[in-house]
Amino acid sequence: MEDAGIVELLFARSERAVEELAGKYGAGCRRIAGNILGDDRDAEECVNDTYLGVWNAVPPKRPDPLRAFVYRVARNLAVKRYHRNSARKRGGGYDAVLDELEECLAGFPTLEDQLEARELSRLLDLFLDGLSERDRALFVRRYWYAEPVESLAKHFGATPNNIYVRLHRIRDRLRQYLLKEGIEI
Amino acid sequence: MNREYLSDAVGGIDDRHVKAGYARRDRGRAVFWRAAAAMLALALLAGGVWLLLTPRGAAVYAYAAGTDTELTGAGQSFTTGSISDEGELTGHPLMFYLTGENIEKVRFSVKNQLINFVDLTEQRDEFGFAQNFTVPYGERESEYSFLVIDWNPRNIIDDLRNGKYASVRDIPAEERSDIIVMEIAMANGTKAVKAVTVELRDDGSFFAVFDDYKITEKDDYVNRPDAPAVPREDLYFNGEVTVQFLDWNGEELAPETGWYKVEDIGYIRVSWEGREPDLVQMYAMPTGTGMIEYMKLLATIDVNTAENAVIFGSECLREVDMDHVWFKVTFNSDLVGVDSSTISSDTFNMIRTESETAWESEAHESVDVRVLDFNGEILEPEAGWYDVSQIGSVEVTWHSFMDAQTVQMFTTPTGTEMAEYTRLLATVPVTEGNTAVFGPECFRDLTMDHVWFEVTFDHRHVLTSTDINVFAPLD
Repeated sequence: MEDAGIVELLFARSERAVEELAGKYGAGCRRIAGNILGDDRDAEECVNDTYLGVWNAVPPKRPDPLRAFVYRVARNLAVKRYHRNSARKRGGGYDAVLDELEECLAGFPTLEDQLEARELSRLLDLFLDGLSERDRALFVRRYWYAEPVESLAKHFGATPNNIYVRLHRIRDRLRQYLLKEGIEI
Repeated sequence: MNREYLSDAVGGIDDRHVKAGYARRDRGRAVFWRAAAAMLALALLAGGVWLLLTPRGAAVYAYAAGTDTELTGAGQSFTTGSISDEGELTGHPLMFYLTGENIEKVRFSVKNQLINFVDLTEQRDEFGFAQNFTVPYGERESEYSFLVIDWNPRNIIDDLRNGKYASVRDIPAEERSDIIVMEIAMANGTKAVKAVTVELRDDGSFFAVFDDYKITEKDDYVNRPDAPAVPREDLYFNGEVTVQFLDWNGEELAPETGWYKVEDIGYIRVSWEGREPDLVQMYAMPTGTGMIEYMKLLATIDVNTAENAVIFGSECLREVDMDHVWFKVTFNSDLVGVDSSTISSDTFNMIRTESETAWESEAHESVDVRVLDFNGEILEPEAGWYDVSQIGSVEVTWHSFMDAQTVQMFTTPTGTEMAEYTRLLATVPVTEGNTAVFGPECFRDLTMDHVWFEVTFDHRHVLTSTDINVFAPLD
């Protein structure tokens, strides 16, 4: 079913909307949640919460594209659960993702004081606009979708080592970009 | 730094970038339902309504590989491949993958044409130009989109090329359509039969429909035996590629803090076990660029020999300043319908710490050419040109720690400077020493040419001399 049809079902408060959401985006949500949480049971709960979250948000929202909206809800819920779990333990692939970002931005210790998270998001948007399509996809898949390096290597037809090197270079460019934008070290 | 802050910042990027993450070869459209024995319970709080998802039977869907367009019962036109009236096929008319929940295996049967099956995860048997075969899918549903079926209308192509039909329009309707029947067994014991019917249109494009199917007596092609799989050793290289950096004495170098110094490198030896590659290529990318557009191909060696190693000389590193360097080994296949496979080595860091001039002045390998007259005395060129009638012999001497195998003399007429005019004039095998001599007979047919010599060592390492210019005086 087309996304517009699913949105109309949500507006009509039809139970079939959730069936269609699950059928079309369930696997993707499960993958995102699994990448971040590293636990199938947690991921499944997160996916169920995602359907509830979308049901509650639409209406009044009329998301377009629907896929990005659903994935964003899944990701946000997974990240919230991750941070809740992290208070008790560390581990899992998302730790590595955050480690890489932390290491990348370690040279800007007052970044949080200089920019709110959403302002940094806008800078990241502009930074990503300046990347090649391939590098942009690689950055987003690694740091937004939290996709493991081995999976990225398979997707991009490269070795894991090549992926590590390319991600390292993209993070270098991000550092240079933030400096150029006047972020203080 | 607060990790929640980082999560929130990255999480807040615009949808256009979120789409970038799934727009390329998106495989997130797996559709599934839990098996009939399992229930998916979902609690919703909307006016006090609780929702339970009722179980449904297993569903199987098909998507076009590359575009991820769903193949439906309504049909879909495909422009990913076409056939001309001359029988020239461009692209792939129909490549697709299946999705579903816990597919155990699928048996594919095509009625008229041929299908290739590729497992991009490289775990299952693959089939080339076959008509019937069975593929185990397994419980890892994330792999299903990597199992690609490629329909190839080879019989139609042959008929057009052989002149049986003058154009696509002349082909009878029954020969322009085909059907791929898929007998699908799910892990829970249920079965389904689906089919892709594909039709070649007058303009050479294709139209495909994916729907449920009922096998009847007329579908006797499904009873053909399964085709054998393509041997895995013909598809995949299972050996390892090893890269060694050697100094000018042939001793292996170690990196310093992860970096190799360019000026220390005499040779780079790339070796492998198992199959013979067709090509070994050396690539570099400057550090800090992070962009594929800056990738450089530094050197290519055609292998095609029984040796298991090649040597890249230090001359391949002229463009290296501060780069990441790696090697790609390509194994081509002679099997029709099977693409080549490539393995990349690890990436190595290289840095040039001395100027190029200083580096070149200490060349550790060289080829010297001495032109002698009939008395064995050194012959001097006039205005840069040697008179062939005065050449008694040419001595080619080289310096390298490696053993040479042959020395060859090449020529190209002046003014052409094009590879297709290059001729191999003579080959001298090397049994001992580091000098080869070419007699005056080698220059007999030359009129006005550039001549050079190539010394070939083990592992296809080659040193090339500078050119000498020769002319034959007019009588």
